[in-house]
Amino acid sequence: MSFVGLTDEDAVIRIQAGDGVALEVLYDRYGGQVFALARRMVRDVSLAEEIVQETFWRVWTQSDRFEPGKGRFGTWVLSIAHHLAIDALRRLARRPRMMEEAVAGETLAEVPSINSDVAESAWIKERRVLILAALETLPEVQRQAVELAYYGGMTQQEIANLQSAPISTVKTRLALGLKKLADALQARGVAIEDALS
Amino acid sequence: MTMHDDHPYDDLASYVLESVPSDESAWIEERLAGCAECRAEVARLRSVTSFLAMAPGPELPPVGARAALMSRIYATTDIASPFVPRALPPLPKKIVPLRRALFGRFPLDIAAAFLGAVLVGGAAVGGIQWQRGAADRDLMARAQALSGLPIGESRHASLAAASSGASARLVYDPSAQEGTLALSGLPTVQPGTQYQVWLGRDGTWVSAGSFRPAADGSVAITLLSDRPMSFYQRILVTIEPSSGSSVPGTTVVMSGTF
Repeated sequence: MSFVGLTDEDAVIRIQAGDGVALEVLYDRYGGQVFALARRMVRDVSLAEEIVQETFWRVWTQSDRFEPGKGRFGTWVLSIAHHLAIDALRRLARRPRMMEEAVAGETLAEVPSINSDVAESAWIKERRVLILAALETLPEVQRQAVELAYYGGMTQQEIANLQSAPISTVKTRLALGLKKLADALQARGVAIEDALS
Repeated sequence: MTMHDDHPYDDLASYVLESVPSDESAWIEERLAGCAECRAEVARLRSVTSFLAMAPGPELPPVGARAALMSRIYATTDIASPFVPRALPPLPKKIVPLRRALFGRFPLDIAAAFLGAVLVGGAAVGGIQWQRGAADRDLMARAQALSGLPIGESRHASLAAASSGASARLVYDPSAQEGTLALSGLPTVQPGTQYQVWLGRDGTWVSAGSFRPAADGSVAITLLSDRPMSFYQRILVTIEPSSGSSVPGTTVVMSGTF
């Protein structure tokens, strides 16, 4: 059985039929991104590894919850990982560093590539540059609110306290921040619909 | 919370970013059930946050994560696991006594010089009774030579012997699916039995070949693996029936860690 060219959606169908190798295919495709996200959020390799395992365990046990018509598999699996990481952060009451501290200091060369395909690796690096550049276009308070919420797992109340702003303002900052991020990505030729394609 | 005609438009970004309290989250989910437009907006916002997830750039998860996950999955299901040892162990690609392997692989003068150096070295440290360190170094040199791998591009593993006389060294390229195992001092096995080599990870073992040593107790074999050698954590040598075993038996002759 060859899994070359197997789409994510077909892999999920195979998983629902009990095909463990299909899960390994998806692990190979998204495990690295899930681990990177988890590690960036919880700042702990062991905890991030647990999140990776639990994320794909949920893919295995709850694959029927994935609805292809509502979005891509990659979006779904990363949302699972994000949710688990936030749970872990709130459980530990641990707050990670801000994104600019954690990421901006790194150079692209320091980011280990897990993909041997040169073209794919190049696209991953280029995409990362575009994402970081798009984030930079957001007004500071909006970018900070989005990063505190997404990477730091902070509630809007906690962000409000940190930014000394009403919750309604924080909600607006988050909404505008995501909208401007989408616009900035699209302005750089990245279609939102192409997430994880 | 902000509402427009009972549609939580203004809260969707906070909801997708998981920054709303659980009671508010439940309220939003109730409204989403009856609002196709809201659900579409949530899907779009999730696509945007997926780009946030990609900003860190992918990193290789720890090597044990995948195996632990798959072990958990196969332990709770009745489906076949790709980690379960094959029903029949594969035949090793090559089973040759060390001496023949050396002469067969290298020009005669190089092999002779190599063996000469070994003999001279052996005599210098006490004739027939080599000191352990010298014997180990010799075995290492033999495995390295047989592997054909440049020293800088290969890795080594030592196997500890249950019996005092046996010794083994493995030379391998982590990215390749084979390795060269040189052994010496192995006792002769009983008729109807043979040695079998196993590669293991997280308590699961796969057969990597079986062999019977030459009369002098030495042998060199090429191990075959279904995955790159870097995938595995341990190596075992056991005594098994001549027909081969699908799982390691209890007679462990040697073991080592990568």
